[in-house]
Parts: sequence; C-alpha cells; structure tokens
Amino acid sequence: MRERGRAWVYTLLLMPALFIGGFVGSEAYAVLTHSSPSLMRESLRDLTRREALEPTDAFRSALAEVEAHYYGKPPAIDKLTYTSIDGMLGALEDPYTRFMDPDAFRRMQEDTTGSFTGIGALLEDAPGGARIVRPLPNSPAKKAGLLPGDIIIAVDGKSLERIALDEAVRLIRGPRFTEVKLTIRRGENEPFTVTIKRDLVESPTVDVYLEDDANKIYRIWLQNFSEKAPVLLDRALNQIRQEGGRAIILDLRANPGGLLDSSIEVASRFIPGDKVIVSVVGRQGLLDRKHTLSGRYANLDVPMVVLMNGGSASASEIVAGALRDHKVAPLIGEDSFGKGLVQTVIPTSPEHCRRYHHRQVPHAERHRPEREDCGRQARRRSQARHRGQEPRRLAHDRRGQGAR
Amino acid sequence: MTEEDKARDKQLQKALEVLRERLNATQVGDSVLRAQTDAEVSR
Repeated sequence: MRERGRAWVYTLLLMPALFIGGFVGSEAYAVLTHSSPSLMRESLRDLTRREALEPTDAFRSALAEVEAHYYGKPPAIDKLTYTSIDGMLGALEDPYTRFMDPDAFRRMQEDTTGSFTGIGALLEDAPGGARIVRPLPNSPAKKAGLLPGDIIIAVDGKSLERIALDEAVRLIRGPRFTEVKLTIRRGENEPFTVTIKRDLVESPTVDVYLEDDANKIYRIWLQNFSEKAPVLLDRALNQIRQEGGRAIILDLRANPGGLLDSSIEVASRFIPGDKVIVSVVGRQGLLDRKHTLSGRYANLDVPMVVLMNGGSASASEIVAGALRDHKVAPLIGEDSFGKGLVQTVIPTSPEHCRRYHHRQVPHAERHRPEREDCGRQARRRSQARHRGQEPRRLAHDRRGQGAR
Repeated sequence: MTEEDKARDKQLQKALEVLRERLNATQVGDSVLRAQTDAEVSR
C-alpha cells in the first residue's frame, strides 16, 4: 500500500513535468542558442536557403553560435575546442588515441623524464581518500613523517571523499616550494593536518633486492621506462655484478611502459648480438624494425626470468616479448595488459605546438621478434578488457590508477 | 597481507624456484664436466 502511494506521488509529479517539458522542449533551441524565438526562426530560414555545410564549417558555425548567442556565459574557447576534439577522437573507438590539453601534456612529460614536483609519495585509491603505499626516500612526504598506510582524506581543506585518485593527485601536486596542507587519517586516531613544502622528486624507477642470499638471486624492479631507466638499470646491473649475483629476476609487474627508445635500451642490456626487438607496422605496412643497440649488452651471463602481471604494459611487453623470443628469459606471473600498439605524440598545429596542445595517436601496431601478432589480436583483447583505461598503476602523487 | 600481496609473493616464489633449479642444474653440469675433465687428466 505504501509502495502504491509512493508510485502515485511519482506519477503526479511526473505528469506536470511532462507538460512543462513538452512546452519548454519545443522552444529549447531558442532558449539555448538565441536570445529570442524570432531570431531563431530567422536563422532557420537562412539555413534552409544555404547549401549543406561542410563538416568543418558546421563546427566553426556551432562554435561561433555558442560564443555569440548562448544564454549563459559560455565556457572558454579552449575548453569548447578541447571537448570537441575529444569527441571527434571518441568516434575512433580507440582508447589510446586521445587529445592532451596543456595540463595532461605536462604530466606526460614529467612521467617520461622521471622526475616531478610534489610531495613524493606512492599513492593508491582508498575509501575516503588516497592511501600512502610508501613515501619515497628523501622526499618531502618522508621528511614530514608520513607513513605507509596513512590515508590523505583532504587536501587544502578539500575532502577527497568523492574525488578520484587522478584528481587527488592533481590537488596534491603544484609548483616547487609551494605548500600543501594534507589532512591525514592514521589508523583509528583522530585525523591530523600536516603542511608540506612541495619539491622536485625523482620517480622511483629501478630498485634492487637480494631475494636469495644463499644463491645470490637478485630482483631488479623496473617501475617505468622513463629517459633515466637505462642509466639506472646499468647502475643496478653493476651492483649485482660487484656483489657476485648469480641470477636475476627482472620484475616488470605494474610497469605501465614509457618510451619506446628506453625499452630498446633495456632489452639491449640482456640480449646479445644484433637481434630484432620489435617491428612497428602501420597502415602502409612495416614502418620500422628496432634492433638491439651495439655496445649495450651487459654481458652478465646469468640465468634470468621476467615477472609480469596485468599492469605490465606497452614497453614492458616489448622487453618481455623480446627476452622470451630470444630465449634469454622465460616469463612468469600473469597475462600482461596486452597493448600491442606504439603511440606517437603529434603536435596539432604550429600554434598549438607552442602552447603544448597535443594529441596522442597510436600509429602502428607492433610485432614481437617471432612476428606473433601482438598488434591486432592483443589490441582486440586489450580494448575489450580495458576500454577507456590505462594499465592499473599506483601513483607517485601524480596521476593515479588509470592515470598515470 | 592483502590478496594482491599474496599473489605477488607467490609469483616471486615461483620465479625463485625456477632460478634455483637452473642454478642447481648449472652446478650439476659443472661438476659433471669437472669430473670428466679430471678423468681425462687421470687417464
């Protein structure tokens, strides 16, 4: 009975809404785009006289109309344009082709250079905020006494309750030497506030662990393929050589990838001779074939395995595939992300280049040395599983899961 | 330890197991080779 009563209330509310909706709907175009219905009728007559607009003319016309006649304050032209480009690229139904606005482009640059400005903490999603997995060594977060497991529940007084990790990271980061006020929940204690001065932080790229002292088995955890990755890997390999390492685990778990050149450098440390690492195939056929780089082989000559999981993507898959195909190391763990594409950053125009507006377009599929198609097949699999996502990853007070 | 941590640890243990086996096989191979060499020398 109560349910029925509730249903009636809804019906009564809905009916007037429909009438009003019908009335407003008939004039919606006028309300939205013109200041008066007569102006709209004039425009419609004008349109019927003209031939069909070219698509780009239609875009310009729509943009001009919004700017000139929208009843409210229209968003900035940058925002309108970026949203339009996003929409256009969405028609490709390709999760990896995307437009980067200046903010996104700056973040991508920081990711690939291997350093960023922030508090220096590895973060992950948590109920009510962002959990600190660990503060990075010598980072502002470490110096401020933040601990693994602490949950950041507010940034500068803004609650992170309903904020995605991506956005939380954006709030935490900022220019060097500026301060950010974090509200922290630690265990069952009352939340407390800490003010931290942001600084330049090196992204953790390579960590070395002695996993089996008796057998001298070392694990190299390669966390990304930034510009610095090859040099840092060299340091790790030298350390292992000096300490008499007898076997290596190359840990590429949760490594979302990075620069293609870095992946070739990394693979060249482990694969002797002149071997194909990856072939890049575009719409017109073979675009490029990347070989091992001469003089880069580390010559450790010890048994090796590669660890992979669902977060190992892109450049990780290139390296792992090459090491397996050239019989250097078997792969252990889980299925990797399955990207199978090489992406290129393309400036959209000279003006936009200066203003750092870029689109990122996968222009080629890639093939492992054995030419098993890790392009189309992997892409289909990947797109089905991850439409609209990036490989899962943690964030170094920067873009988070799905953000890098 | 979360389920994810457990899965990661299991993967690591598997990797260590594979490498230990390979190191052991290498050692056995070395000792067989040494034994042969010694035998050749003694002949």
